[in-house]
Amino acid sequence: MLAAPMPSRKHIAFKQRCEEAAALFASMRHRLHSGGLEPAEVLQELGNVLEELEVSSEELRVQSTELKSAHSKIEAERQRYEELFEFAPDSYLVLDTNGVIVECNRAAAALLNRDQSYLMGKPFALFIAASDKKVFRSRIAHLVHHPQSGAQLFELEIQPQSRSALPAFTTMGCILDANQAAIGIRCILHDMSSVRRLEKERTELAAMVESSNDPIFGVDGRGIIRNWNKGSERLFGYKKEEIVGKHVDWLLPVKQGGSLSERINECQDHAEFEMVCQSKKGTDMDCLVTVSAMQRSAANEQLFAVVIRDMTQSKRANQLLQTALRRAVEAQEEERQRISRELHDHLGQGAAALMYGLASLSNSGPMSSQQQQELSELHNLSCKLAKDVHTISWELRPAALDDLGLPAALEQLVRTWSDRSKIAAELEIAGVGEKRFSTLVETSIFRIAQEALTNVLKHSGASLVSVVLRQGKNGLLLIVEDDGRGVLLKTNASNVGSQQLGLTSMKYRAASAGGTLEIESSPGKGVAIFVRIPFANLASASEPQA
Amino acid sequence: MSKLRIFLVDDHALVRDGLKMVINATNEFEVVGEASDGQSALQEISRLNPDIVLMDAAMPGWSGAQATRQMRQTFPGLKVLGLSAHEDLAYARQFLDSGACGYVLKRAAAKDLLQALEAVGRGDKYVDPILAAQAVQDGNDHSNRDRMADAKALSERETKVMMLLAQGHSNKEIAKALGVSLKTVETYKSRSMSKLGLVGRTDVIRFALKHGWLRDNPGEDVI
Repeated sequence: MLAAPMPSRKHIAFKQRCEEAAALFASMRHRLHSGGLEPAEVLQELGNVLEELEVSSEELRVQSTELKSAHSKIEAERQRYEELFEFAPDSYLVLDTNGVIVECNRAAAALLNRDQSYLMGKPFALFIAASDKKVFRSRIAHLVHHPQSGAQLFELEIQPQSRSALPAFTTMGCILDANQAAIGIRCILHDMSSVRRLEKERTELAAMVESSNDPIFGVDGRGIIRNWNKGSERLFGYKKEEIVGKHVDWLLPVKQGGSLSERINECQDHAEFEMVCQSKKGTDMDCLVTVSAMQRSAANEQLFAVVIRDMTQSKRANQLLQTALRRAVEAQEEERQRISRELHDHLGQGAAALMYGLASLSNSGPMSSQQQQELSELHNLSCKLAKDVHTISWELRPAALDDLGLPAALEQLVRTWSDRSKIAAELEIAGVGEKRFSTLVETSIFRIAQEALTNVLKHSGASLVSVVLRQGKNGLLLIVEDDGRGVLLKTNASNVGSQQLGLTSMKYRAASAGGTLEIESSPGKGVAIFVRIPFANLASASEPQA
Repeated sequence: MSKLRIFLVDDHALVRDGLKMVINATNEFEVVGEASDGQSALQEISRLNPDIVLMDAAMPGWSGAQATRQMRQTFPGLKVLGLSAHEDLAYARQFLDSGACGYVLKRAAAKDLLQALEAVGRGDKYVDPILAAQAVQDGNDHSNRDRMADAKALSERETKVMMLLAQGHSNKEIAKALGVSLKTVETYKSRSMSKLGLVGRTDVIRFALKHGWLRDNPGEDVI
C-alpha cells in the first residue's frame, strides 16, 4: 500500500552521470570522426567516465540494500500499528468523508455488536441513536469543511445491533492528503456506560448517606470532621456549616477524659466502641461508635467513616428489662423460699409427729405380730415421707441459705452434690467470716455454684471440683473449677459452648447482683468459672449497677 | 430410780404430742412441761427446773440455738438436746456452739432419740450418727493437707503463678500480669501443682494460706 518510492538524490545524480557519459560518447564519436581527437585521448576519457560510473553504481547498490532494510522495518512498524489498531481496547473506526466505515477494529465490532466484515462499507450513522444522528452528521460536515480545525470531542449515543443504547465518548479527526484536504475521518469511541454506572452509584450512595437517619460523618487523619449528614445534624444539633472543619473531639462532653479522634485513628479497618457524646444543647448521650477506615484518597489522605448510634434509649430499656428480670427472679426465689418453708414447717413437722405417734403406739400395749409389722411399715413410710419433704424443701431453697448464710449453704451444697455425683468436691472458704451479705448476693452466688456444679456433672467428666469462696477488700469471689475435659471457648459469648454451659443464666445472675462472671476453659484443662462481686454491691440489696 | 425430767420446746403442737407419747412411754423419762417458743420456755424452765430441754432448731422468734444460748446463760448446768429436721452439720454446729450437749435429727428412729436423751442425761455429748459420719469425712478431707510439699520446690516463676492462682486470678489474668502466653501459664500451673502434690484450686489456696502468701494481703486483688 506504500506509494512508489521517490527517486533518491543519489539515484538522480547517477542518472545525470549516465546522461553526461552518453553525451560525452556522442561528442567524442563526432570529434573522432572529424579527426579532432586522438584515439588514445578517447580511451583515456572513456576510462575516466567508466570509473566514475562504477563508483556511482557501487553507491547505488549500497543504497538499495539500505532501502530494503528500511522497507522491512517500515513493514514491521506498519504491522505493529495495525495490531495496535486492531486490538486496542477502545473502538477505532476509519470513515470516509461521507461517514461510511472504511476500517474498524475488534473493539468497535464488539461495541456495535457486528462482525468487522459486515461493518465495512456500512454508514456509521446506522449505529447511532436517532436522537444523535443529526449531531453526528453536522460534526462530520464541519470536519470535512474545516479539515484544519482539529479533533472534535463529543458524546454520542451508540445504538449497537440488538442491544440497548450506550453512551460513548467520541473523538473524531480528519485524515488529510498531501494537499491538506480531508480524505477520511478517524473516529475513537470510548464506552462510558460503566463509568456512568459508577457515577450513578456514587451519587445514589452519597444521597443515601446524606439522607440517612443514622448519624454518619467523615473524619480525616487529623481528627477533623470532613462530612456531616442529616442524621448527624438531627442527633447532635449542629448544622453542616458549623461543624465541618471542626475537630471531632468537639462532640464530647468537656469534662470527659479520652479522645474520640485517638480512638478513631487507632482503627485499622473496622472498630466499634462505646463513648459518651454531647449534643449542641449539652445533652450527654451513650453512643455506640462504629468506625471504618476508608481507602486512602488520591491525595493519600486517610479518611474514616464514623457511624454513631444513640444507645441512651435502648440502654434505659435494657435497664428496665434487667430490673424486671431481676424482680422476676427475686419473686421466684421468694416463692420457692415460702413453699420450702411451708413444706418443711408443716408437712415435715407433721411427718415427724406421725413418726413419734407411731413409735409410741408400738410401745402402748400387746399387739399381734401382724399389727406390729403393719405399724413398723407405717413408721418406715412416715420416715421416708419426712426425708422426702426435707429433700424437696432443700432443693427448692436450702433453709441454710437463709438461716445460716452462704458458707453453710455452700458446704451443704458441695457435700450433697459430691455424695450424689460420686465426684470429689472440695470447698475452701476464706475471709468471709460471720457477716451476712444481701439476700440477692447470697442467692446469686449460691445458685451460680449450684448451676456450675450441675454443669460439671453433666459435661465435664471431672474427677475433682474445687469450690472457692473468698472475700477480700475489693469484694467477693466465687470460683468453681473442675479438672474435666474442658471446652473450646470462642470469644463470642453466644457460641454453642457457652450455651451448653448455661452461661447465660449464670451471667445474668452475676449481673443482677452487680457482679461479673468469667469462664475460662480449654480442651483438656477443665472449666473454671469466676464470679466477682465488688465490695460496694455486697451489703445492700440496692439496684444493680448499670 | 427417778425419771429424768424432760422439757419440750417446739412450735408444732403435733410434734410435741408425738414426742410426749414416745418419751412418756419409757421408764427413764417423763415430759414435765412444754413451750412453743424460746421466751416462754425460759420462764417455764425457771419454774419446773427440768433435767433436759429438747429443743427444736427452727422456731418463730428465737431460733433453737439462740434460745439455747439464753438458757445456758441463765441456767449454766442445764442440758439442752437440739432437735432438727435439718440434716446439716452446720445446724448441729450452731447448736453445739451455743452450748447444747447434743443434736438429734427428727427423722431419727424413736430409739435413737431415747439413746440421745440417755447420753445427754449421763453428761455425754451426742451427735446424730448421720451427721457424725459427715464430720468424720470432713476431718479426713482436711487431714490430707499434710502431704503438701515444700514451697522451695518451686521456681520463682512457678511461685508467682501459684500466688496469683491462690489470689483467685484466672489463667488469662495471670498470663497478662506476667506477660506470658496462656499456654505457658497452664504449663506452670500443672507443673507446680504436681511438684507440690496439690490437686485443685482449693489445695492451692490452703497451701497459700499455710505459707502465709495470703495473710499479708487478705484477699488481695480478688476482684
